[in-house]
Amino acid sequence: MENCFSRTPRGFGARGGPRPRWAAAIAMAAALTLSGIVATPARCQGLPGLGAGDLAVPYGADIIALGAGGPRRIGAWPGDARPRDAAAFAGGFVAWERKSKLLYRASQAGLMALGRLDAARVYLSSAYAISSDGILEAGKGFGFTVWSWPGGKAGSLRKVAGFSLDCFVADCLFVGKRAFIAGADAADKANSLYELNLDTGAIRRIAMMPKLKDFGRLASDGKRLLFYTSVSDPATTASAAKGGSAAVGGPASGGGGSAPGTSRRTATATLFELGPGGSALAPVAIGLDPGIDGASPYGSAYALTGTFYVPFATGQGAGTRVWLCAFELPASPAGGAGRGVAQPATIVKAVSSHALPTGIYAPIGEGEGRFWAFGYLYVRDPKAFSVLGLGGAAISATALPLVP
Amino acid sequence: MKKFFVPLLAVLLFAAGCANPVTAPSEAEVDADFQAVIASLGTDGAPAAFAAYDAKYGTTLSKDFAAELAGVGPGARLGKGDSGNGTILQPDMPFSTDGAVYLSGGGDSTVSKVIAWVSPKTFPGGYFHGAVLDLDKFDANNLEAESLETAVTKGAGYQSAADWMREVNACVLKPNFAVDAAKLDSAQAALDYYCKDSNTNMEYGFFKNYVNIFNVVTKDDNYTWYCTKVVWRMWKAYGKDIDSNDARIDFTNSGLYSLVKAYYTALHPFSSSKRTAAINAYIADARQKIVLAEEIMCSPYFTKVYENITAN
Repeated sequence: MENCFSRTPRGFGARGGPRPRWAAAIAMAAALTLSGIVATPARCQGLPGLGAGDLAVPYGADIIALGAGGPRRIGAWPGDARPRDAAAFAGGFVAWERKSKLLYRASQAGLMALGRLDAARVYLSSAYAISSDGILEAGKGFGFTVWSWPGGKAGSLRKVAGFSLDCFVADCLFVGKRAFIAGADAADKANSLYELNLDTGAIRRIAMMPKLKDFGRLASDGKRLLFYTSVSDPATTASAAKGGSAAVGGPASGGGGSAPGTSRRTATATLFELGPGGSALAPVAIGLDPGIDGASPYGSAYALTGTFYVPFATGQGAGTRVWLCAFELPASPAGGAGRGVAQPATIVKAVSSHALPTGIYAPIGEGEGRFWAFGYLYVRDPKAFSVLGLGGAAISATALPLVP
Repeated sequence: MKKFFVPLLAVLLFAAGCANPVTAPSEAEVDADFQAVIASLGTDGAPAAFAAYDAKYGTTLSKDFAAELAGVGPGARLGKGDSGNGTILQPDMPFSTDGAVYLSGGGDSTVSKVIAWVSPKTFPGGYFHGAVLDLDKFDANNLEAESLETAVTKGAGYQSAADWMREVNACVLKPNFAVDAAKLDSAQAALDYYCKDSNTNMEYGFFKNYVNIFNVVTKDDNYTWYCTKVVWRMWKAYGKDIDSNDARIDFTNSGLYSLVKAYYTALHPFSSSKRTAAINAYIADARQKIVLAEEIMCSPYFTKVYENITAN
C-alpha cells in the first residue's frame, strides 16, 4: 500500500500529503515538459535557483525558495501573491494568481498554467484545489468546487466535484484523499470541522463546538489530526472559555480558550487518528496546557517529526507575546479501532516552549528538518510579514519582501 | 426682368433647400445607440462606442470620461494591481468595530467598473465602493477570511480584510452612537437571509438589467445588489437609515450625469428646456433611489476614524 501519510514534504494546505505521489507527479511533469509533450504556455519560465528538495512559494511579486541556505528569491511571480495563495512541495508549488484567476504549477521546469479558476477564494494542495464562489446560497451557504490537474499538464485543470456548505472557512488542510475544512457558520454560532472526500465530493461534519470569538485551526502529522481554535484576541480569551460542547460522534470539546476563572488556562482541542486515505477516526478530547499563565492558542500550529507545535499568546496590542509550545500527543488516540468512546479530556502538558518573534500566520511546509511558515502578528505590527524557519529551539525570521 | 428673375429663382431654390427641416432622431434610434454606449462601460470597447455616439449626436462622452478612457481615473484603477509586490496599502486600517463601514476609491478587489464609472466623486478619495465589517468573522491570523459584507459580481457576498488592506483609497466610518450588539448581530444575520433568499435570482448593479440606467434599482429591492446597498440594508435592518442624500454631493460631477445628459441631448436636440427638465428629473429620482458611498460617508450616524488616500 502506498504510504499516504508521509510527513515530508508538506506545504500549507498540503500538510501531510503523500510524498511519493508528488514526487511522481513532479517527475512526470518535468519529463513531459522536457520532452516537449506538454505545450508550455507563454508564461512558462524556468526556476533555475530551485533545488530539488527546496520548498518554494510566491509572495508579492517574488518566488521564494526555502532550503538549507534560508529564504532566497529565485524568480518573479506574475501577480501579487498573498500568504495563503500557494501550496508548497519539494521542488515547487501550486499557486493561484488572483488577477488572471490562473492556477499555476511551478517546478524546476518552470511555471505552467494549469487552467483558469474563477473563484473568490481558493484552498490548495499539491494535487487538489477547493474553490469558493463567495456567494451565500439559500439554506446552503457558500458554493465550493473541488479541482484536480491529472498529470500536471498545462490546461489540465478539471472539476472533480461540487458542494455547498454554510462555512466561513478558517483553515483547510489536505491529507491524502481527504481535505479537512474548519470554519464557522454564517450565524457565528458554531465552529465546525468537516471531512471532504476529494474524489467524490462527499462531505461530513466530524466535530462541532460553539463559536466564541475564535476560529478553527488544524495541524496534522499525516497520522493524526489536531483540531483546536485560535482566539480572536489573546487579551480577551476568557470569553472563549466555555467547555462541554460535543464533537460529533465523540467526546466533549470546548472552545479555543481556556478554563474560566483560573490564571493557568488549558486549551481544549480534539485529536483524531487518521485511517486509510486520511479519513478521520473517532475523536478524542484533549486539553493543551502550555504552562504559561493566561495564554491561549493564537495562530497556526504544525507537526514536525511527530511532535505538535501550537502557538500560544498573551497580552494586548504591542504588548502581545507569542510562544511556540511543543506537545507530545497520544500516538493512537482512537486505539486504532476506528471507534472512540467518550471519555474525559486528557490534559497534555507542553514539553517545551520558546518565545516567537512574531505569530505563525500561515504554514508553508516542511523541508530540511525545519518547518517553514509565514510570520505575522497583526496586533503588534500589521505591516510586517516574515518567513519563519522553525526547527525546535532554532527559530529564524526573515523579513518580507526579501531584500534583493 | 429676366435679368432679375434668374438670380431670384436661384436664391429661392437655395433657400428652399436649406429650409428642409432637420428631424430629431427617433427614440428607438437613440435608445439603440445609447444601449451600445452603456454596454461598453468599463470595457475596452468604450472609447470607440463613446466616440461614435459623440460624432452622431454632438455629445461629450469622450471628454467627460477622458480620465477613465485614458486609464487614469478611479474606475480605471480597478484591477490594475496597484498594491504590487505584496504591499499592503492600508496597513493601519482598523478592524476593531462591529458594523464599521469601509469605503474605497479603487483597488484590486473592487468588483465593478460600472459603478466606479458612474458614481459621483465629490470628495477626496473618490469613494464608490463599500462594505461593512462583521467583527465576529474577522480573524487577525487569517486576513483572507470573509469578514466584510458587500456585493460581488453575482450579488451580495463577502470580502476579506486582506482585500480591503489593498484598496487604493480608503476610509473607515465608525458608528457614533451606542450600538446594541445583539441587535447588530441580528441585522447582520438578516442580511445573510437576503443573500441566501435571492441568490438564484440575483444580479449586481445600480440598474436592473445590468446597465439599463433607466431602471434604477430601489434600495428595498431584493434582486439587484450593489456594494453600498448591502451596507445600507444591514444598517436599515438595525434601524438606521444611513443614506444621507447630502446636498453637498454633486451629481453633475458623475459619470451617471454625463450619461443621462448624453441620452437626453440626443433625444431632445432642439429643446434645452426639455433636456434640462428630463436630466434633472432623472437625477432627483436616482438620488433618492440609489445609496452611494459618499452619501453614506456624509451620514450623521458615522464618524470617520480612518482615511488614507494613496492616489488621486
